[in-house]
Amino acid sequence: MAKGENLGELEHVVLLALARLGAEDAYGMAIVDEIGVRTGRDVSVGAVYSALDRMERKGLLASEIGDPSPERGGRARRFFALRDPGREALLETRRSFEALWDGLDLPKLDVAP
Amino acid sequence: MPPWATRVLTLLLPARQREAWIGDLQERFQHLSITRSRKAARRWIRGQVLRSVGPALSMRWRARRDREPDHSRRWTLDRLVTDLRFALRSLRKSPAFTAITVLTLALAMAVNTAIFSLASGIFMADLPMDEPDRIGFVWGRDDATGRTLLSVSKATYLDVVRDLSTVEATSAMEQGSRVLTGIGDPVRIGAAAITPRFLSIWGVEPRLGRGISDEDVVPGAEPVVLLSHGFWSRSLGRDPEALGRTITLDGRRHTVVGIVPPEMEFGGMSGTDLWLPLVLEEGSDDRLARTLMVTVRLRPDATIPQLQAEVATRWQGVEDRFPEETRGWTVEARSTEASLVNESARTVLLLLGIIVGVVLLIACVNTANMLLARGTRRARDLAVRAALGAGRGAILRPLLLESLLVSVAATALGLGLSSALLDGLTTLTRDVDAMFTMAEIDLRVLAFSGALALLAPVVFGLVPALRASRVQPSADLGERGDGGSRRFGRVRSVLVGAQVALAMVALVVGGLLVRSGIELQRLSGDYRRDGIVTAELLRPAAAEEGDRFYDALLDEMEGVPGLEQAALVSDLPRRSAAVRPVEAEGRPAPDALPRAFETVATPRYLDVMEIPLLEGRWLGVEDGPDAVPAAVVSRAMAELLWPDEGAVGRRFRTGPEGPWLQVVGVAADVKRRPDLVSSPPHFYRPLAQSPRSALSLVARVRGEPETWGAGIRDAVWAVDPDQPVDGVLSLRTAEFRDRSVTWAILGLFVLFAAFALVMAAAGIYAVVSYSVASRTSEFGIRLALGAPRTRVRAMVLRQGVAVVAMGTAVGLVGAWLAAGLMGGMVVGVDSRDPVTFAAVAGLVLAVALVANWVPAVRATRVDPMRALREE
Repeated sequence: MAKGENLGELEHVVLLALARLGAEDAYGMAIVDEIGVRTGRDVSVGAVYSALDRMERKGLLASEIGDPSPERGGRARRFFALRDPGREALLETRRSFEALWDGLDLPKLDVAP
Repeated sequence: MPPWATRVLTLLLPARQREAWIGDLQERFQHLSITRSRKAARRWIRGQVLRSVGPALSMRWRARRDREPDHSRRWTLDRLVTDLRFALRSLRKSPAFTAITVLTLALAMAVNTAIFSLASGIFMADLPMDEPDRIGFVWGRDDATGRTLLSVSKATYLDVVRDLSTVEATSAMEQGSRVLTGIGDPVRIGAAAITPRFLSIWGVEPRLGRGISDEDVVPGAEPVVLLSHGFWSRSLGRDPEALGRTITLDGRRHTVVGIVPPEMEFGGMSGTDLWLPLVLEEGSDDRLARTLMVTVRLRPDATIPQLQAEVATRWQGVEDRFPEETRGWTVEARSTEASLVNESARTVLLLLGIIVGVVLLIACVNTANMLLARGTRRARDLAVRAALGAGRGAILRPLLLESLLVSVAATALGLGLSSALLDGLTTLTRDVDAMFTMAEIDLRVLAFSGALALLAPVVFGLVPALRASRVQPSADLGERGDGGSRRFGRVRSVLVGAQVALAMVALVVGGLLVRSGIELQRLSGDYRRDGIVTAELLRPAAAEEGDRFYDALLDEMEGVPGLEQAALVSDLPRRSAAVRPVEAEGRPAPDALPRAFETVATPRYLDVMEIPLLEGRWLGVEDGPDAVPAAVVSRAMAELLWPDEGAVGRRFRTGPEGPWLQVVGVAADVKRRPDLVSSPPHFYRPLAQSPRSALSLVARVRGEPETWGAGIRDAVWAVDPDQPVDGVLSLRTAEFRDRSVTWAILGLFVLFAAFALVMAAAGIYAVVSYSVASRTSEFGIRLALGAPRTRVRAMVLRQGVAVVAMGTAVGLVGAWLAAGLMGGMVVGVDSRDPVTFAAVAGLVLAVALVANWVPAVRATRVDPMRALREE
C-alpha cells in the first residue's frame, strides 16, 4: 500500500475472512458467517459490503458475479477474491502488529483510584 | 423475504451490489425461517435492513464521487448555467403562465406589505416618549355626534387640567401657522404653540439650545421660537449660528433659542416648522375655542383610571358653573393607546388587512394550482428524459430553478411595487384623522411576504417535479390516477369560486366609484369653471378695523391686463362653507331652525362665476359697513323661508342674537354636488359687512389659468409684499385636488378590482388546466372511441362554468350588499345601478369563459394514440 494507508479495523477482519474462504467460496453472506464463527462478532451484511466496496476501489480485491439460484429469488451471488496488493496489505498489517507485540508482557494493571 | 423489505432495499442499495446483497439476505432469511422461525427471520431482516442504511448511503456517495473525479467545481458551475438556460427557455415558452404567476405573487406581496406596513405604522407607532403608558391625553367629545376631538379650550385647561393631583406634569399644544417674512418670499408655515413641559412629556430634548421656559409664557415676554429640525435643515442649512438669530413671524421679531429634534416630526406634527410659547392667559375666556391638544404625565403612583375619574369630577364642576358654554360637550382623559388612532381609521385598516391577507392566501394557492397543472402537463416530457438516462438531479434541477426564477422575479417586482404602493397609501391617509401616521416599509412584513413569495413557487413547484422525476423501477411502485387530487379538487374549485365572487364585488365597487368620479368631473354648469384662477389668502389682520388690504387688492386687480374680473369669496362653491341656522322675520320659528350655508363675497363674485341673478340685485358697494346689513339668498332658501311670497325685501337672521339681514336679491342655486336634485339653502353676505381673514381669490382671466401664477402673486405683492399667497391654481385643478382623497381611494379600488379579476381568471385557468392534464388519458380514449372534439371541449367547459356561475351568483349578492354600504360615497349614479352590475357581471363571465376556453381546447388536442399508449 502506498502512502502509508493502513487497513481499517473492519477491513482487516473482512479481508482475513475472505482470504480464509478462498475465491470460490467468498461471497457476502459467507464472509459474514466466517467472521461470526471465528471472532464471535455480529457484523451486518451492509457493513461487510461497504468494507468490500472500499477495498475493491483501492484495488485490494476483485469481484465477479456468479450464478443465480432459486433460494435467492433468482439472484446471483457476487464472489470476492484477494489480489496481490490486498495480500501485501494483510502481511504488512500483521508485521506491524507483531512488531508492536514483540516482547510485550501484559500484566494485570490495577491503578489505585 | 417480506415484500416491504425487498422494496426498501431495492430503493436503497446501490445498483452494483444490489442483486448480490439482496440475494444474500434472501438466502439467509429462508434459512432462518426454516431453522428457527419465521418470526425470528423477520426480526433478523428488520435489523439488517436498518443497518444497511448507513453503508448503502456511503457507498452511493463513494460511487458518485468516483464517477467524475476531476471536474468538481467547474463541473457544478457549467451544469448550473446549462440548467439555468433550460429553465429560462421553458419559462419563456409559456409566457402567460410566467407573467401571471410572477404578477400575481408580486402584487399580492406588494399589497400585503404596503397595507400591513401602514397598519403597523399606525398601531405600533414609535412614539418618542419612553413610557407611553404613563402618559394621558385629554379629549373632548361632542355628545350629539359622538365625535371625539383631541382639543380642549384654554379655559378648560386652566380649570380642569393644570392642577390635577394625579399628574406630575401637564402640557398643551395649539397648532396654527405664522407668516414668515425676511427669508425669501413671504410664506405661511406651520407653527405650534406649546407650554414649557410639552417637550419633556413627549420625551424629546432640544437638539441645540433650550426648550420653552416658564419665563417665555408670561404675557408680554420677549418672543422666542424653536425651529424644527427639518426647517433648520431646509431653510438655514443646519447653520449652528442659527441660535440667537431673529426671524420675523407675523410682523414680530422672534429670537431663535433652540432646535427641536426630528423625532417630533411625525403624523400631525410633521408639518410643524416652528415651536412657540403658548400663552394660556390670552383668549382663555372663550370656552368654545377648543384648540389645545393636552398631554399629561401621570404621577408614579397614579393610574389612568384615577386620572379619568379626577378629570370627570373636575369637568362636572366646570359644567355646573358654565352650563351654556359646555352644553353638549364632555371632556375626558384617555390613555395613549386609546388615543393613538381614530376608530374609523382603525376599522378601515382592519378590514383592509383581512381582505389583503385573504388575497395573499389565494394568490399562493393560485400559484400552486398553476405550478401543479404545469408540472402534470410536462410529466410526459420529464418521463422521457428520465427514460433517456437523465439522473434525477438533472431533471429536478431545472424545474427547481424555474420555480426559483419565478420567485426571484416576483419578489423583486413585489419590492418595487410595495414601495410605490406604500407611498401612495401614506399620502392617502395623511388626511384621514389618524394622529400618528408613520409608515415605512415594515421589514418584518416585507420579509414575511418575501419569504412566502420565495417559498411558495419552490414548494409547489417541487411536488410535481419530484413526482415527475421519480424513476419507476417496478410495477408495484407505480402511481396512477389522481385520487388524492380529487379531494383537493373540490377545495380548489371552492377557492376559485370565492375568487370570482371577490373579483365581482371589487369590480362593482370600483365601477361605481369610477362612474361617480366621472359624474363629478362632468358637472352641470351651475357656474363657470373654465378660465378662472383661484388663490388662497390668509390675512388675520383683515378681520380688524382699518385694514384695507383686500380692497386695495381688488383695485390692483382691475389694472392688470388680461384679467377680466376679480372677486373674493369665503369658500369656493364646492368647498364646505359655514352653516348657520336661519330664522325668517315675522314667522313663527320652528323648534329646529333650518340651516343654510353662508358665503361671504365681494361685489364682482357673481360676475366672475357667471351665476345667474334671478330677482332683485347682487351685493354692491352700497352695502358698506355702515349700511343696512344685506344678503342675497339662493332660490332654494327663498322657497324654504318664503314659499308663497317674494323674498326680496324680507328679513332673516342667523339665530336669536344675530342682526336682521335684508334680502336684496335672489341668485340661482349652485349645486354642491351634481347628483343632488335639490340644492341646500344658501345665502351670501358682503365682505364689507362681514370681514374675514381667510378668503379665496377668484379671477376670470384671458388665456390659460395655469399661466397666471406669477401674475396673481405679483398683484398681491404690489399691495403688500409680505402677504403670502397659497394655492394659485385654476379652478378646475383646485376642485380636483379637493377631491384627491376620493381619487386615490378610487384608484386603489380599481387596482384592487383588476388584480382580483386577473387572479380569478388565473385561478380558473389553473384549476381547469390541472383537471384536463390529469384526465388526459380519459380524453384520449374518448377521442379514440370517436367522440367529437366539441363534446370533449364541452365536458371541460361544463366543469369550469359551474364554478364560475356559482362564484358570480355569490359575487352579485356580495356586490349588492357592498353597494348598499357605499351610498354615501357615490355621486351622480344610483349605488345599485343596474348598468354597472350588468357590465361587471358580463366582464367577469367573459374573462372566466376565456380562462376556461384555453385548457378546454387543449383537451381536444390530445393525441388519442399517445394518451392510450400511456395506459
